[in-house]
Amino acid sequence: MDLLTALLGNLAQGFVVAMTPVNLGLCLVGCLLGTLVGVLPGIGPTATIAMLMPITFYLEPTGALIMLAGVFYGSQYGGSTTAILVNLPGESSSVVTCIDGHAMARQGRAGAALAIAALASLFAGTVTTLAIAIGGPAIASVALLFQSPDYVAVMVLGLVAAIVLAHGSLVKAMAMIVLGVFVGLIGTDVTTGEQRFTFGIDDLFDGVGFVPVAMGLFGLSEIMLNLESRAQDGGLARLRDRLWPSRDDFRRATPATVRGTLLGIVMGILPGGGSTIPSFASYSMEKKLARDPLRFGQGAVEGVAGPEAANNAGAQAGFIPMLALGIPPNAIMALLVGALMIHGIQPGPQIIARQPELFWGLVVSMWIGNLMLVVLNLPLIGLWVRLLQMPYRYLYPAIIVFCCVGVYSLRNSMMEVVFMAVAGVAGYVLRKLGCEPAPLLLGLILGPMLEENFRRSLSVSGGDYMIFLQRPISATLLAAAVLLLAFVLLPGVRHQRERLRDD
Amino acid sequence: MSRWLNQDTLAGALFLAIGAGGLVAGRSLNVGTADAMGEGYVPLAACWLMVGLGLLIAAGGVRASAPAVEPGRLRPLLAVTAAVLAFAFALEPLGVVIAIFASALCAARAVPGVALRSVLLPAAVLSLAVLAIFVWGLGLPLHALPRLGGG
Repeated sequence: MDLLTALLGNLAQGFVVAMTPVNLGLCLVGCLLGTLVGVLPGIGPTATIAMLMPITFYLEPTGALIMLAGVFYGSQYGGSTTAILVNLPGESSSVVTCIDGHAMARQGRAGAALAIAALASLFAGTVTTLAIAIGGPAIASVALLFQSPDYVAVMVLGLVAAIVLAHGSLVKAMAMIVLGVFVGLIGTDVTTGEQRFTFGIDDLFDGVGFVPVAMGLFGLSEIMLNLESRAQDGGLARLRDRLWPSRDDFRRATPATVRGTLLGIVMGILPGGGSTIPSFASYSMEKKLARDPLRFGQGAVEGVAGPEAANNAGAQAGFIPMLALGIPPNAIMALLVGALMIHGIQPGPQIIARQPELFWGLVVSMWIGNLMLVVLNLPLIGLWVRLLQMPYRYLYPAIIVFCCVGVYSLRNSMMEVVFMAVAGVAGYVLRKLGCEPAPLLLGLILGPMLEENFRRSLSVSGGDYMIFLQRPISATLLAAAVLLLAFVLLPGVRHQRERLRDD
Repeated sequence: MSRWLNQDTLAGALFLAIGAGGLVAGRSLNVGTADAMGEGYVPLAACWLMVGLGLLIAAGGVRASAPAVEPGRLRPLLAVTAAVLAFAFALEPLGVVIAIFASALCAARAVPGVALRSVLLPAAVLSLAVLAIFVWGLGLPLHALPRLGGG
């Protein structure tokens, strides 16, 4: 009972923070922007959040986080709109929504598909918000007992999970993480004050900027790849009929939504989970559970509701480890950690206790944002459809310029813009070689934290590596990491994983 | 010959090169001992790991099933990079407006057959938007036009 009153009190405090006109406005801006980039294929939430980072410098940290979070979950809504109407995934997480969503649209049931997608996302968003409100403080209170060896172990577990869940080759993902850690260590060593790999470039003394790397790796290389392959036309579906789904639709969609939500929360908490993998997992689960799997691909409502709930839940569940442990489970959360650090807030389990207005304001704003998205999106669909017809050649020069201005303004340094160009070329080459850039970004943000805790652990133990196995928390976490790695190396799982990648 | 130039061998070679390069560039860093690590301990360990993983990845490229590198096109890569660099080098001496036009002109080269004239109006709109949001709105210390007198 006490817990419940405490929770209600905290949520009330969150409402006070989230309902201020400024924060409400920022939430709206974030959601609209997120929907916009979600609708437009070829520009994703990662690049957008990276672009917005410099602007958030001028905001309160809470408002900044509210807006950036809005971009993230807003893009999940927008992505499904494009998937259903044009048969193009606006985001990678809505790839599976294309299958049955667009099939429904071709049958003239685009309105029903859009409404189901939006309502499933709203349900998932609401439940996940509650999960964050309950789970975040619980995990944080455990994490307060953590000492440096435990932090090392939890980061190792996170990185291993990121490797396991990355698309494509395990070894390449591992190498990308190590590369990220290495790049993260460039700059002045905090302990000894020595320069590392700076080659006398002033702009590297404080380390490689996180934002230019992220924008180059995700934003610029994405533009380059998009410009290479602009052959795509799905044919716009028309919105002919009523928007509201039938009673039969609801009967089928409801259980799928609940299952998708739970799946999304569990997988979203795991490092590397993000929102794409839960949506795939939910689709195959619904197909397996269905009495008549043949309907899938022909416009099955479950195939829209489940994955849409899962991707939204997955997107938001990532906030739990980010806020409770300070450990980002995916590239977008890594960017949000970066945003917190720009504001001088050290991420970690102490955030919830020390900055309750930030945590609870964010939680409540996510719920408000989800509601806004449903209320706003359904009437605005006509506008999004028109935007989809905007040619990419007007769009990408603007994206490039906004990236440049944004990066420059962080430190008023043109070298940062040059670094971004380098990261763009690197991202292009790495993607061509089958190396996904997301693990690199995780390594980059975790690298300095990892080194610091690793150093401290071993200096406490007098250089004895056994310290990681002697503390129960770190031993358990490391065992989990080993098990996870062993599990994916099993021949059967490995085979399944490779098949999933080919799909 | 081209069978050996697949995604895996090339990626492996890349990581190997980065790792080896890091070891050479960081050879003067102090490694220290595990209980008192120097500034080189963790970064050089990361370099060794990259060397090892690079070899492992490259070994995978020997398989016949190793994925081939999808042919890329140089044009978008160069145009986008040039657009960013043009902005970077034009911004401080020439001001935001010229930097944006230079960037947009470079970017337009990414797609064949775009008349340079058709870039001017979007670039003008973009300049206005950037000035409105960043300079007048957020008050970033950027100057719109070239500063006279070399200031």
